[in-house]
Order: sequence, then structure tokens, then C-alpha cells
Amino acid sequence: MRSWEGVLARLVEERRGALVRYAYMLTGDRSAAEDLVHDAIIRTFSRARRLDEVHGAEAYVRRTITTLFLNSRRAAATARSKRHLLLARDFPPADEHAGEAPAVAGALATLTPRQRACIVLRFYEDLSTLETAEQLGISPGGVKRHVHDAMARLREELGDWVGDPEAEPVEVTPTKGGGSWPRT
Amino acid sequence: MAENLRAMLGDMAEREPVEVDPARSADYVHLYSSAIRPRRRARAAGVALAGGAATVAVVLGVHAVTSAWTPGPSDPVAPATTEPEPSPLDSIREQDDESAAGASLFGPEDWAIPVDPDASEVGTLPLDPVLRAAAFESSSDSAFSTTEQCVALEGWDGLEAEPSLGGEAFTAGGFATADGVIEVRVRDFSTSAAATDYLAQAEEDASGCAAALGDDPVQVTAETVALTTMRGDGLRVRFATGEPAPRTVWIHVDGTAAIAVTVEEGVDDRGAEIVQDWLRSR
Repeated sequence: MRSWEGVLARLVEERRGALVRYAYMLTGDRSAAEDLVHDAIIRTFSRARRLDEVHGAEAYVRRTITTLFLNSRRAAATARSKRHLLLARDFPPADEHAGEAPAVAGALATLTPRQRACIVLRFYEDLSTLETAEQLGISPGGVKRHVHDAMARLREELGDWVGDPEAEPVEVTPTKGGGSWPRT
Repeated sequence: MAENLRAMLGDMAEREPVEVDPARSADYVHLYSSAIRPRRRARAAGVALAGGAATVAVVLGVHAVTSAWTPGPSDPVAPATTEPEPSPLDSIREQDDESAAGASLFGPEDWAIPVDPDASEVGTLPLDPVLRAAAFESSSDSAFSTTEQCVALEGWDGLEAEPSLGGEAFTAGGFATADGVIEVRVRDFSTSAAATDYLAQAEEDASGCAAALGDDPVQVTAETVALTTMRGDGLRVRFATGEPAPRTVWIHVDGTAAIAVTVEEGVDDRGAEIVQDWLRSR
């Protein structure tokens, strides 16, 4: 067995579930997620680069999943078209956030692909703003803007369930007169 | 707040059952391997999956550094390029045709260029999504890093300047050659006029930088470029420091879409070929 085949076998056995979940978070649709992972794995392993360990290969596949998602109007359209199905799904509650899952899925479906990718990378994959920017090939400022816009949209959809996770604390500097309002 | 969102996303993910049956894993491995093997063999044999090494004739409208950019039709178009031969891997490519339809901004599906554009039996360089070109570094005796218009070129070259013109610059990836990296970035402007305006402003700063540097150790040249039979307008900026091959940046706009190809210093300039591949895929 060639080395890439060994890495592929381990990747599928150990990490395919996580990859499909990641793709599902981007697309909101299981079938589209499976397609995305399928395409990304084939693309990654078809290229003549060295793939001699699973973690490196997984990083490449994840990056390719993200690029394919952002690059594919079809995947984005699928995510949007499934919104009503996600809202209609009835999951049995299992914890304090359980009843929110369908609503969250529906709310995510209202985001643009870039906004959704930023939210998933920042708050599902737990990447920093800088790492998210690197993954998406955009500036950190672009990531912050997308997250800000996405959060505004999610708040519209979900109300108080979501705050502003990246809100900067506001510093209040007392003025000489003791007032906190700016003078005009 | 962030924890709340994380919990909700985690909950959403966990509620999607993902099969981890080891027996099925073997099926997946077999399925993937069957698709991957012929592609790897094809690459090893030097067959490019995307595009072809068609002849590129470039019409250059070399501007004097003080000349102004005039938006509008490109310079006269040279004779037709040769059409790429049908790939023997068309049957494989058909599998991706549907997804390719939505892939125009980021370039062709499975984008690869021949290692050597003049040889037929060679390998190919696939677009690697994680590769980036190194930033340009001028020598300490150059005024490049202290000249405003030259410093601004980094933003122009990366398609990142003028956010008010709409769209956002993305790195599509890079081609790793033996001598360095060729990076590809893309952006979709809000309007065609915005894209043309971007190109005009980039040319203006590049020309301004070139004029300001005079006989500096770094020599910058800015040229408007039209690719034979290809749509759109282009700009080529070269940063020469005495190396055999200067750092070169190609910016090309076609409607609202734009591509920037950055060729590191010392690397063969494949910019025209890459822009042409990108235009063909649109």
C-alpha cells in the first residue's frame, strides 16, 4: 500500500465523521456535506503533494472543504433551500440548548456563505480571528466584519439566545466634571 | 455570550448523526481510492486536468510612467490563440462539471499548470490552497519602503485596496514551482465600473511609484496588458532588483471579477497563462 493510501484509510476511519460534521455546519444539509467531503478528499489526495500523516491531510481536506463551500453557488443555494426543513425538524431535547438546534440551523441558513464560514470557524472550530482569516484567505478585519454582520443577523433570528461574542468592552473615562457624556 | 453560541453550534453538530461504522469506512476508502488513483497517475504522466498550455500572445501597451490610465477597451487584439486539445481525462472531469459551474471566481476546477510550459511530457503544478507568495522586501538602500505610492502597491497587488469598491479579496491558493510560489487572489467587485476604477487607480499608484523611485536599486515598471482574444483589461507591475527574474504582479479584471497573480522574484513568469486559464473557466 502506498503511503497516501494508508493515510487515506486512517483519515476516513478516524476523522471522516468530524469532517462531515464540519461540512454540515457549513452547508446545513447532510447530503451536501457528504458531497463536499467526498469532493474535498478526492481533490486533496489527487494532488501530487506529500501526504504522510493524518493531521496534515485533515488540515488540507478541511481547507478544501471551506474553499469548495465558498466557491460553490450550488452548496450555498442548497443550504438556503433547506432552511424550512431545518426549522420544521423536531429533535428531542437533551440539554439546555437542545430545543435551540433547529432554530440555530435555520438562522445559520440566512447568512451569506462567508458569514457562515466565519461563524463556524470562530465558534465551532474555535479558531482565533487571525487563524480564521488565514483559513479563508481574507484579512482579520474582514473576518471581524463578517462576524459582526452575521451576529446582527443571528440576533434578528434568535433574539436573546445570542449576544455579541466579540463586543469590545467599552472603557468609560471619567471627565473632570464627572460626567460620562461627551460634550458638544 | 460566546459560550452560548458555541454551545448552540456544538449541539447542532452533535444532533446530526454521522456514521462511523468501520465496515462502511472500508467502502469509503475503496470509493475514494478508485477516484484518486487515475488522477494521480494522470498527474504523474504530465496531463493537466484543467486548461492547456495554449499559446499566449500578449499585447503590451507600455505606458510612460507619467501617462494616465484610460479606462475602456483594451489595446488591439492579436491573432487568435490555439484552442486547447480535448483532454484524455474528459471523462474524469465530467464528474466535476456541475460543481465547476459555480467555480468561476476561484479559477478552474482542479486547477493545475504544466511544470514546464514548453515541454509536453512533464508533470503539473496543482493549485495549493494553502500556499502564499512571500511579501516583497526591498533593500535598505532603496526608497521603496518609504515611498507612499510604492507602499500602497501591496494593497493594490493583493486586490485588498479600496474596500468601498465592493467585494472582498480572497486567496485562491498558490502554485509551488521549483524556484518559488505564484499566488492567485480573486475579488468580485460590486460593479464592472468599480473593477475598472480599481485597475485605473492601481496603475496610477504603480506609475507614481515608478516615477518616484528614479534610479533607485528597485526598478518598478507598470504596463497595461491585453491578453490575446481574452476579455477584460489588465495591468502588469514588475519589481526588478537585479535578480534574473523580477517579482511580477498581474491584475486582470473581467466584468466585476478580478484576479491578481503574484510571481515571486526569481520565478518564471507564468502570469499570462494563469490569467488565461482563469478567464477560460469563467
